[in-house]
Amino acid sequence: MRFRLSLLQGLALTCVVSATQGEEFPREAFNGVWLIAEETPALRTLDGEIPPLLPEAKALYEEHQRRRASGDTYFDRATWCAGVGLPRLLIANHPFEIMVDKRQIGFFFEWNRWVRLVDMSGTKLEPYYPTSLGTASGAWQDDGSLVIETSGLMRETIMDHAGLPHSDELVMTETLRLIDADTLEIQMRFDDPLTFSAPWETKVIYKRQHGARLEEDVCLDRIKQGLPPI
Amino acid sequence: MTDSRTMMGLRPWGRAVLATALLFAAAEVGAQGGGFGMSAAPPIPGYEPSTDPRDFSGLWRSRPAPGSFLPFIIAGELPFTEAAKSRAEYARRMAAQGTQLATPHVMCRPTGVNQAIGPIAPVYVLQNSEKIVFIVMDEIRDIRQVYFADEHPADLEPSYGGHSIARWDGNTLVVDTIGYNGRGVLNNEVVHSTAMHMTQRITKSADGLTLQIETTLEDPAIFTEPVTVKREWSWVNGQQPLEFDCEENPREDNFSGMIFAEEYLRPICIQYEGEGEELSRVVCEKP
Amino acid sequence: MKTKGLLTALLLTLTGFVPKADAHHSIVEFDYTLAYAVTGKVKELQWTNPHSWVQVLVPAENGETIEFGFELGAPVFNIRLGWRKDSIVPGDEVTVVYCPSRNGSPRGTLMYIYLPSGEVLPGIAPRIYSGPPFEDPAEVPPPPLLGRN
Repeated sequence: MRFRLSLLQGLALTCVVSATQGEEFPREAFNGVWLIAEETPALRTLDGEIPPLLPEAKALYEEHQRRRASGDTYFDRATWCAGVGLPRLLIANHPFEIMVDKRQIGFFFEWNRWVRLVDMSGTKLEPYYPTSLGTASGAWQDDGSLVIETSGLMRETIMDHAGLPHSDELVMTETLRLIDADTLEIQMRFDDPLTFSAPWETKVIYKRQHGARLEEDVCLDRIKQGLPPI
Repeated sequence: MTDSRTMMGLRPWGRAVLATALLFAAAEVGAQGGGFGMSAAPPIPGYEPSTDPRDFSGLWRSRPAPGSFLPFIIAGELPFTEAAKSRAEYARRMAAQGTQLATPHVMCRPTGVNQAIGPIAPVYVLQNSEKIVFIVMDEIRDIRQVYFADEHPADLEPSYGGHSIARWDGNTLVVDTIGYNGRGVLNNEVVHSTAMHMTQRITKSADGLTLQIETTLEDPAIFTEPVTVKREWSWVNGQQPLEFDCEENPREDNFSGMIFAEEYLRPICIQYEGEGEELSRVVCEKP
Repeated sequence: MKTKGLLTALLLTLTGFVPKADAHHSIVEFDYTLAYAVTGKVKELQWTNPHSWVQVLVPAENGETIEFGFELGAPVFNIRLGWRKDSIVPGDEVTVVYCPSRNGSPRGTLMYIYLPSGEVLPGIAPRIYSGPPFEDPAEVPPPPLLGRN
């Protein structure tokens, strides 16, 4: 009896150790189609708080919410199908696909067919000019996680559906980790001294969409049919 | 002296294409192997061509067809049906009057066969054992996923870009594409139908610097017989991807004088310039 | 290396034509045989796709202000010509030489913009312009729209 319990305990301990080592997932395990597990219209910090906005940015955020409530969505460029950028594409209610390639990691966003290529050469790329997806460089960590740093994010996008503003100075750092074969966690850190009084973080969970393929999404066709743009 | 009266009536998007073409042509003339002078974006490292004949991953740029200057032109003496000829004639008549017949491409829709053959923007190619993905970002965005498979899915949803499967024939990749929604373009005048069937044979040169692409197009709605188009894509030593957000500024000026033969192309969101100090604003009508 | 024949061929093949010796004639939106110059205050730079635009407020002879819109290429092209998103800002006093819209509206395709810093940025139009050459914007007449002619 005591032997069997010890054996079971030993096995249990081995399983726990393997899981925390993070060695069981090869890089290709990140490949596949992912969808956010919980609808996230508004970003919150790890503590569940509204991000620490500076006064002017806070006033803008509140105005965005007032405008949306009154039906005026023109502060949100998704209204006319313009690019919504990052982090919004990562927290929208639309799937994306990750494809690990030797030179870069592709994020294929279903929403209006946006593509983000994360350069994996180890060079810190400078943005050519601010764009909706910014310029991203990534690196694999020893624990199997993937860290991506993105800058050059144009200020004309909003960070979430609620209208969280940002400036061209925003730097977004993501740490991607597989919790299990079907669960992806992205911890996001936002550093924008023109918008927030301090850097802050949030965490988002995605579930693997087995057997799914991205649809070809054409936003202009959808809004023409009276469907919501995003 | 250039006679401006010889120019076709080109609306704003057409002029953007013209500008690209002129820059491309100028660069083409000055190009010196290993890349094109038009590269606007900063270089990025890690792009060494591979001599593995079955590895197409990397960054490529389509060269023009012989006798042409622009890779995305698919024209010349093609065996068009009467319907396709009459559509093209209508487009030219409108252009001659200083208007433009709206096409899906001009109205920011994905392009159909055109961008699969000779895109004017560079093409990023990602590849693994399951698929090859051709990505265009500096032009109207295309994520063209080509799956290694023997059959198309039975429940295919028609799309602008169709559905692509591929197999190897020796070291030539044979790509089969069907499932078009009838809104993809062949060129600036001709829209191909749902019956379009595109077959491509893609072979890489031994030095890894060129992809030879032979494309056969069959579409009884626009062609009286199958058409074969050849292109070469040249290796590009890595560039930072840029963005072309076609929907970004639906400015009123873009659409003035445009004719919408297909109602789905008429925009419902338009940007108007403000009066006095008032800034421009987008207004969307209810569809 | 652009010759008349090359340019014609390019333009004709753009819409799927086979180039022919007898070129088509057409009415175009901008008149590339003309250049006008205006001086005014930048209201807005729309650094956008598929075209970027500069909106400039120009005083007319009768005391009114006319808003002109000048078309550029997409940011991808403009960058190549030396532009940056912050090359001009609202309030800048600028002089613009442009090829005008054929319908007489205050619209044009930008040839050159002369900035307060002394920098000069081109648009796409110089590559197509076929009107009288000029060294200085002072040699370029104002548009009839301003009522000064």
